[in-house]
Amino acid sequence: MLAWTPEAREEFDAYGRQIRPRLEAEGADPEEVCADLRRHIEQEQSVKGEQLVTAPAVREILLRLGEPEALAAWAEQPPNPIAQKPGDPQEFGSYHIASILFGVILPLGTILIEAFTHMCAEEFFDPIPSWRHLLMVTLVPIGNLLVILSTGGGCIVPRRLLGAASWLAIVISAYYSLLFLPIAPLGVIMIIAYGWGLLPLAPLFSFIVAIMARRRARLACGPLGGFVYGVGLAVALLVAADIPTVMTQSAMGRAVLSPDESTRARAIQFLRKHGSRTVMERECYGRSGDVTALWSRPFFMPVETANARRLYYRVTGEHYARPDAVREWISRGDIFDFDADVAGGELVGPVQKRLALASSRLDGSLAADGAFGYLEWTMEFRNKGEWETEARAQLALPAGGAVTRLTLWVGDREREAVFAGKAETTRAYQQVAVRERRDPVLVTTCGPDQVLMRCSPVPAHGKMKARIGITFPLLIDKPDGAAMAFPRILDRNFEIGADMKHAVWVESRRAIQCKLAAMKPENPKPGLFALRGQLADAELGAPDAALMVQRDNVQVWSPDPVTTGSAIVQRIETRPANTPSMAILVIDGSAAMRDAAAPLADAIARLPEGIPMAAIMAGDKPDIIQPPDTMNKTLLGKVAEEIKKEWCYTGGADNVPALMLAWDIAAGRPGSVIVWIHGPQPIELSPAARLIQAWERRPGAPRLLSLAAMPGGNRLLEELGDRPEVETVPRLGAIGDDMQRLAGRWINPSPILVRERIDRVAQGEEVSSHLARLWALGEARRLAANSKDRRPALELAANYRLVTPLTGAVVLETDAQYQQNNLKAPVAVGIPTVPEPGDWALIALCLGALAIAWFRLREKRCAA
Amino acid sequence: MGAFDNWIVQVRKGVLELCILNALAGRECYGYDLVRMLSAVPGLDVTEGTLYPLLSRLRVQGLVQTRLEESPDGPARKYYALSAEGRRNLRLMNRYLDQLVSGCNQIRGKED
Repeated sequence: MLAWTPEAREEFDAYGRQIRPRLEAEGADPEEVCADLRRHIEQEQSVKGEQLVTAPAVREILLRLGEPEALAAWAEQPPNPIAQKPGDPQEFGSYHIASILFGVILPLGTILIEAFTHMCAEEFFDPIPSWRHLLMVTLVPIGNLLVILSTGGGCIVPRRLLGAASWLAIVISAYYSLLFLPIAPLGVIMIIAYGWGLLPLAPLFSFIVAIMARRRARLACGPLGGFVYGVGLAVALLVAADIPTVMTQSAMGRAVLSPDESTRARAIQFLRKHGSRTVMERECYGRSGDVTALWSRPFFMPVETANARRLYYRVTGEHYARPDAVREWISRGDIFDFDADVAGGELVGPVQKRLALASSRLDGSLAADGAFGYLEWTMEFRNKGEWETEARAQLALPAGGAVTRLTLWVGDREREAVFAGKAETTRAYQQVAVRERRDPVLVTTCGPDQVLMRCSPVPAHGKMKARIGITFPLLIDKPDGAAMAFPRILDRNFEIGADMKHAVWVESRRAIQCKLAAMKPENPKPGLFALRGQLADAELGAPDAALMVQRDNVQVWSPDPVTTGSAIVQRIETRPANTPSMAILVIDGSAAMRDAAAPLADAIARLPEGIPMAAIMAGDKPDIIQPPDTMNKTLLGKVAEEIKKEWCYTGGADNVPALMLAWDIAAGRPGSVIVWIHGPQPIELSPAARLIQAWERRPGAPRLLSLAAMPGGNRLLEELGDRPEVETVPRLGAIGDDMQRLAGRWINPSPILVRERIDRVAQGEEVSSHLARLWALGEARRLAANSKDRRPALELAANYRLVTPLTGAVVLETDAQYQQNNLKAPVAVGIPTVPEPGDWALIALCLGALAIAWFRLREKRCAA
Repeated sequence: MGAFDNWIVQVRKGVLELCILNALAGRECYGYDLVRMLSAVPGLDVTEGTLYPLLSRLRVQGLVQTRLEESPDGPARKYYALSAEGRRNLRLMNRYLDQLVSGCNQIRGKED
């Protein structure tokens, strides 16, 4: 029972007194009618949520109920047009227009703008991180529209449905209003200051309209009901939209923080099957990100960014910032332009969205008889961003090669690098690049046959151009031929557009071939063969891009550019079969290896019999799929079948435990070898310290041969890189062929290049000074491996301009910078070029011979 | 007021009572809802204030019966239902009206 104010009672009694005579005349019971009217007034006030009946309310209701007249008077009134129906436009007033504007159009527009631009997601948090959230928020303007239209003259849908739609809109808009509450004042300020900024207020407006429209609809249609259905559905939608986020966060916490190993393993399995990739990606950037995480985050133990990145790789087998995923990620605003955390450091870091490789050219020259080559790779980076940034790339060199030249363009001038100790060059680079923000470039090794190139800074809206020269031996796999693989980009922090091609030109005085159709033969001069092509980045790294060149087995020599009067001689000897006492195959069980499994298994099934062998699958746990035994066809077939099992290749596998297990098996057998067949290892899952310690402490420990099934960054190899026991297996064809080539050396004699320095005139064909650099590279490695004093190896490498594990190459901008960092400014003498000085001399000789021949021919003709 | 308006007044006077009885046919109805429902019928154009006296008269005539029921979230609710007399009258009224409309339509058909 509502309370009436005295004034209200007075108002109503006056009305009753006025209508009483007419009611009596009509045959109605005046007392009953007055009681009915009183209940009606109370009912309306109750629907409005009022606790008190006031005089104005009585007056307003009675006015709406109709004139204080009875049936006779009503019947005499002229009728309204019959065409008037509930919800007709005629019923619409300013209330309806305002309600539709703020309760339907504004939220709908906000949803569309956010869905297409991710405006809020980029600046604050992602309010619609999934299609489930999109569906849920779209129901708010729909529900509001139904209710608003029903206030015009009656329910346009069944009342219970209308009530449910109303509650649905109220609950969801209330939820989003709370989430947007912290930034709602910003919207108000924006409106006051600039006249726009309604979007952050859209949930609040929707909520207000939903409440007001419901009240009006109750007046128009009577009690609506639908509370249980509406609120229930809203809660169900909220849970359904948010549960993947919550479950993923919970599983991430268990996978990282649980002390129980089986719990961690179960959590990883759960994440592989049901985890939200988006949620995991966001955690990799240390961003709570979506709308659910705003409230759910405090309920879970936080997972550190580094752990989240490791976990993401364990679960998916992919790097969290893989280049092909970055675009989608950028659209959510989660890639930063400025990666100060890795600038100047050893990490390549995530791809920078506005930094790209603008052009790339490779110019090479192969000395086929000398079994070596020299290749210059010129790269130009373009920065479209507002901030200067560092370009970083990890490059795979041709097996056994080294960087022997580094050039930076400063304006139009080329500046050459100084080669010095790795620590000194790195320190100079960091001093100049990171602190002084000037233009240096640095190249250091980061694993066997791998280098890290850092160029800093690429100016905002500017370019930076650098060139590295690589001297490398050719792989001699048959008496009359040799092969080489191109250097390739393993990891990078810049984009390579789909239309960016590497312009390749390789020449030799011997015929050269390539399986790639994109590489076209050229014959630029008599006696000079060339191949040219425009190769996509994937093509450059493909085994099919390997070049084959004809050659003769001859002794070659080169003057020693460092020691006057000495020469470097190279001859080819035959090494007897190098059968390992035990070969332990360690197969990476990461998802990236799935496609390589079948050809690898076929190659293993065809391995030669009689070699003691074991095989370990590096999955979530190391699994010995073949204990040590002498191989026969049956056992090899069994190993091949195990490798073919696709379920083995899931997520990202930690290969360190498997390699450690292999080391334990191999350690007791001198002359054993571990063959690690792997995909990219973009994330370090566990430190390699155990492996490094094992190799450091035990002399004569097994060799580790790294056979990369596909190109990609390898953090583990970076860690192991300086160990002389670690070698890479050249990739010159399909993985099966390369595996067979490796095994062939175990059972067959194989050619080997022997280089030595002599202090006399050498016999044989003279070749360029790259031969001397290759000798120096081998000698520096030997010195470093056999002596604790690294200085002789370092000086040797620096004198011959080599980037080795002990040395680096750095280009600074000014001579003063070299002096400040205790480095000698480079001199032009001894810097290699393409073609080599020796080749220029040869070309000049040929031209001279041709000129003489032409003159003689002319004289003969004149005489005739 | 024209001839058409006069005719409308006469039709409405006769039909409104029939509408109330039909609304209560077969079910009990909460007074507030009943008033809302009838006031929303297009063409009938009855105000809520008009219906309460009419309902009262029908109760006095014994065609409808009422009962009050307490409500936990508002004022007591008054429910209306047809009495036996009301049901009999409704049958007769509907039958009469059907015949009347049918006859009117027949004549209209001939004229068309």
